[in-house]
Amino acid sequence: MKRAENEMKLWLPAKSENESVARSAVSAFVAVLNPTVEELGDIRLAVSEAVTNAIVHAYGGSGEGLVYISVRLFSGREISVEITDKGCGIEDVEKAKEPFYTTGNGEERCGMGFLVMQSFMDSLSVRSKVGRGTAVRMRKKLTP
Amino acid sequence: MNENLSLTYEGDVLYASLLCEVDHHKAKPLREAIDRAVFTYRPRVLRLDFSSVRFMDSSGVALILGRSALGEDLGFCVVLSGLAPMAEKLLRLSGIDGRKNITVCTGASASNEERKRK
Repeated sequence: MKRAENEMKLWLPAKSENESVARSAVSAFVAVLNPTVEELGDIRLAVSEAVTNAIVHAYGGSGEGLVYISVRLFSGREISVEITDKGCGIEDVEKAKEPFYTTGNGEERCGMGFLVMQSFMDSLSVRSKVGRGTAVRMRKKLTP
Repeated sequence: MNENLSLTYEGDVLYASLLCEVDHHKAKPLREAIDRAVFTYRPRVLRLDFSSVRFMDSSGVALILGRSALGEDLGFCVVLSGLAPMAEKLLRLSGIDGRKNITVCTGASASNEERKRK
């Protein structure tokens, strides 16, 4: 496994006002690599979706719990972002990844979270255990 | 009263200019304020202007889809303008542009119209 050249870790209370904090922190950290405006936009978007999923679905919008964010920069301008929670977990990850599938949680949602992460990043992997939590890892290689 | 939204009603059209980033946190108060105005004015067109929106995620798509569904019930159509390229990309992914009561104004036509209003 490649060793990261730089790394940022932060955790935030699972409150919806922290969605913007999470994407701003990640984009500030990644900005040292001088990504294009489009690449930075893609990363901000994917982070926003993953953090929102953790807040809304993993913790049920209760505001309780923590969202853990880890960003690693590798040689070759490769970025890895991992968003982890210790919430309710996902029973069927493949089902949850289906476009437009949503449990809603009584909110107006459109079920595009994983679709967006998949479309705007180069790779997405989701590991989840019911009752234990979920880890979403995304990778993106920036243009040279 | 929502500081992130400017609402005006003119000739059967309800203009809603969104003035903030549209994520899950901001979407709820925005849609509540828009819906209140919709029920008050009963417009024929709801025009959502995104020209001041610097970031939007899928919560923005849900907001648009929700207003479109409301429009089907109440008989109004939704017009979108001022979308940034990233938001347009998101909308294409959602298939929203195929909805019959949603019109997306892009490029020069949208900015000309916005200029006329200002």
